Amino acid sequence: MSQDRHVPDWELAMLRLGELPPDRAAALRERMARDPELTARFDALDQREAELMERLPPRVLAAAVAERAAPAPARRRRWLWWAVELAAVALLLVLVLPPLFGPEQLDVVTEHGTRDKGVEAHLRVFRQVDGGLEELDIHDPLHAGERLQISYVSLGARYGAVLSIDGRGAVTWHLPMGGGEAVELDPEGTVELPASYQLDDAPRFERFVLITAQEPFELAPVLAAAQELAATPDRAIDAPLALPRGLDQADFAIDKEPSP
Amino acid sequence: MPIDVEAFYSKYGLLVLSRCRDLLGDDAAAEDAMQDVFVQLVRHQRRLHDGAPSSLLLRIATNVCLNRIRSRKRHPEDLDPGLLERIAAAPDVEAQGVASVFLQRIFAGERESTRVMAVLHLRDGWTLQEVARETGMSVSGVRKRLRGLKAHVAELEGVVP
Repeated sequence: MSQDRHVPDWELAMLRLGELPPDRAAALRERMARDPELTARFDALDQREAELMERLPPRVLAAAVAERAAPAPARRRRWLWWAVELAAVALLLVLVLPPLFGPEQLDVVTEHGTRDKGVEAHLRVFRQVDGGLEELDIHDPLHAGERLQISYVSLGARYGAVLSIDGRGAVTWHLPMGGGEAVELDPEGTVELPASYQLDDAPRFERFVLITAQEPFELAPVLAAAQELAATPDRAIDAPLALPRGLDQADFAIDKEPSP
Repeated sequence: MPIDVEAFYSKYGLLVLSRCRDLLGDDAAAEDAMQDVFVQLVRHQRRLHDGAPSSLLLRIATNVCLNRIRSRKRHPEDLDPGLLERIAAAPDVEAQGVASVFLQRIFAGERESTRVMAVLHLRDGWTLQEVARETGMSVSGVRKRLRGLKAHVAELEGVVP
């Protein structure tokens, strides 16, 4: 870290929170020890925070955030949403069932139907290891021959399909195995696909894509979009599929490394 | 459990606001952007991972601000855009014009936006090693990702091969 560089306020704020990386924090503290102006800026953070909380109190901020986070139809029909909330509150008062206060109560109605607020269907990918499965992170490096278990979490999406694109431009269906039409998704939990998948020696990457919708859909247009994208590997590693209207997508790519 | 926005804001509001102010250079715009940062936190709360929330919020704020910089109306006299403007305007293969893709990846612990990495390195002065640690990537991975921006951000000349 350069001694002469300007230290931004956010970095001082991270130091104050104790969440700056240790070596950077140590360097900053060392600099503060010989820079009274910097120390004064650090000491002033308490006052600045108090001013912020007074100008924009947490409750006001939270309300504004909730407003922005609400789906557009709900904002347009605020009166209806309030009515639904009031009805829900009345129901809670009658039933007094604590489990109803769980996150499932965040479900909202959108133009695509009932969905978990702000959370999309997504894939989870596991590597088979001795004694079980190890969950992978996006772009974890893997090698040819390793076997993967693909799972989906539908989160309100009703129909779906899973395909993969590899660095050689090949498109493979994983759900359903033979293509055709999207399947009805299991609404609960993390759902494993019927078969595991062994990586071949295609280079660079293997990218899995979950395509979902609220209605059944044909897979032919999805396959066409995947094949078009797969023809350009530099784009296929990250770019979204050009899907028909009404279809959503979520992906999970892993990096392929040459076998040792 | 849904996140407690009030608690997050009480603890991290100043950090987020400072970051937005640092990048946008305007108090009102920064405060507006700050609210969007917490909106993203709400929308992706189930994908929050363990770890320092400040680091996550810093990257979300950076991304939110870059998207705002990118969408600002350019004036004809802006013949020499600044570093942030060039980073914001640079093509980013993982974005494809869809800001939410960035955010989903940030929240999912996925590979970081290259533009965010460029800001951390070039503007914030973080070393490649620090960016790599922050984003959970290898140094060579960070360098490789930044290479794609080299044609649009002159400051990357010499930083990446």
